[in-house]
Amino acid sequence: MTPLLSLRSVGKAYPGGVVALRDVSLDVTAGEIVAIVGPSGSGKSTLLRLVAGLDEPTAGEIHVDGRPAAGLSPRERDVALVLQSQSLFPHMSVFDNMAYGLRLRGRQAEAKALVENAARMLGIEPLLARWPAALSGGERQRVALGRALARRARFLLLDEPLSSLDAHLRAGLRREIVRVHRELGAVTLLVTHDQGEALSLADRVVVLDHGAVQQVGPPRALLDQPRSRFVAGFIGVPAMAFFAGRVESGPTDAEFRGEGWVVPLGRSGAPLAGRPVVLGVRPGHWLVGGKEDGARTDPGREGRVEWIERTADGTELAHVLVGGTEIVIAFPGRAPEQGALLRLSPDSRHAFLFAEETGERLCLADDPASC
Amino acid sequence: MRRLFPALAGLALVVVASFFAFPFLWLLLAPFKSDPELFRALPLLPERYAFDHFGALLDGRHIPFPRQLANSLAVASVQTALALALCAPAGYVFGQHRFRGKRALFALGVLGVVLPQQVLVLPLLSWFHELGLYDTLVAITLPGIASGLGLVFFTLVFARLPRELPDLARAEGASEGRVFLTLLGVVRPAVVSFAFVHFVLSWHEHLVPLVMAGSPATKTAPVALASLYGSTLRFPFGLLMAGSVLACIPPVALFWMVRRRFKSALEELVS
Repeated sequence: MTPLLSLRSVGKAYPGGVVALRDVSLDVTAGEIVAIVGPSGSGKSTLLRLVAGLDEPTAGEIHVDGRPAAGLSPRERDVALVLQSQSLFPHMSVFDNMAYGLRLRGRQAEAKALVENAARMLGIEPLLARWPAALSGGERQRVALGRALARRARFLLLDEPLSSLDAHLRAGLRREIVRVHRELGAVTLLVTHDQGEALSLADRVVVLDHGAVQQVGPPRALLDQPRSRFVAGFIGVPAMAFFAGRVESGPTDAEFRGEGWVVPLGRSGAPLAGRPVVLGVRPGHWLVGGKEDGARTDPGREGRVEWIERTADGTELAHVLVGGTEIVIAFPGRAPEQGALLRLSPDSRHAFLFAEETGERLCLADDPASC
Repeated sequence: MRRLFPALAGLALVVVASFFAFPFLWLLLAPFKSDPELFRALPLLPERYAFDHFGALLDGRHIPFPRQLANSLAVASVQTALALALCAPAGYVFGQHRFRGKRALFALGVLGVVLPQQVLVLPLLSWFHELGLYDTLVAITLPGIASGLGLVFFTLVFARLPRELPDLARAEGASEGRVFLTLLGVVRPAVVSFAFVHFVLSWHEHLVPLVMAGSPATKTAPVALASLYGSTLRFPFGLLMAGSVLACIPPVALFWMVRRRFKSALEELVS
């Protein structure tokens, strides 16, 4: 199946030397939702503008439906945009906003039926005669989605569509995005800084940093098999804890030693012996013991619970001070009391190793799935 | 004391307001007065309301005043429409696009605001003579359409628009011209305000119509009224007052029509 959208080594440099994107390659087939995440300034929105045809790349090629898209206008590419704010024209009624693209294409006659149909699907029929200023933020985004739906655009391009909405509305609108996406059967690109949104909506996630693709993959793979320290640190909330150190050959097995931590790596760590590395541990991947039973199997380190953060999903996060560094540890149920002393050690089965200089993930020989 | 102060303040307000309102009221009532009454500032109200001055002005026995009012109306409307047609697209390009030489060109536009119009009137006069346009309404209308103020105004208006709006229009499939028209719809209050201000300025304009018009049939109302002074009439004040009152009606009526949009445009510029 030919991808509906294909980016080949796409780059974008602005006059003055600012490089917004470099060597981005990506194939997206019809029916896929691809989220683009990255810190601000990583080139997410630039990528969306290039796909939309609002900007031309300065390197590489974009193909739409197997044909080069260079010089094709947004109209010829058949895109629909939903932006964080200002997704609607303030001087037009909701109906006129939704019919705008249809009218431009001379489909005046069908416009009424198509707009009403789309409005019915999204439950915004009562809004058709209203003006954008009289709508709530959530209603406006629904209307913008409805406009894409009415026109049956081939590319649904969403740039932080839910970022200015509160949590309740966001949940409802995620559902609508998926509904519109399925109805269109098209390509949906979702730019977001909210990784929860990306992980929950997308079939695949593209992680960008400094204009370059760090990793592309299904949400689960980004969490379980990050390719680099950047991706590991960027994806996952709260963020992974990192400790700098070195792999050393112990009496029988290799082990990680650094910042006061000693973590057994098993025999498979042996090839890495002597390398400076960074150990990464997610908040949920700690072995926690009480003070008394700590000394039994592995030494671990002692820390004091400084405060407990409760999250909306019921997880409790203990901020534990260990030798001057604060480490966040997730407890599915109740966390220990504030002030409690804990014995901590990283769960070596789930810890990640990264090369210190490149940040690249290092594989352990007996764990082929890891890389 | 607590009651006295508001009363005194109110009285003061009435006195000050009357002081400033007096010339306007006097102007409004003057055309109805007889010649001897026009010499006196008081009483404010005429002894008897007479329409003789209006009659003498409108029946064209001294000057073709109805024709001249129509000239004014034509010049101000056409000039406003053309200025809008010129300044709004130019402001869109300056406010929304990047191109080589933009700063230099914009500076030229600003120069049009800074230079006094008097500087250009004589060169324009000889130029229009050359083109055979002297003493036509075209010669009176054309100089005002290239409004430097309009260019600067619309540049600011379009530059202040959120960047998302043109993107949205393009993504929906709008051509460049359609993007402009869509954005023009967004800034409609600014368009109406500019048109109103330009119409009023053009309506009151004295210098260009004075220089470009030779015969009474081409003169605009303000110039024609001023010409009454040098005429054979011994005492033209009654006619002058009647003409002034009539000449005030179109701008005031226009303001009444656009007052809401004018207000919202001002609010938008302030916010």
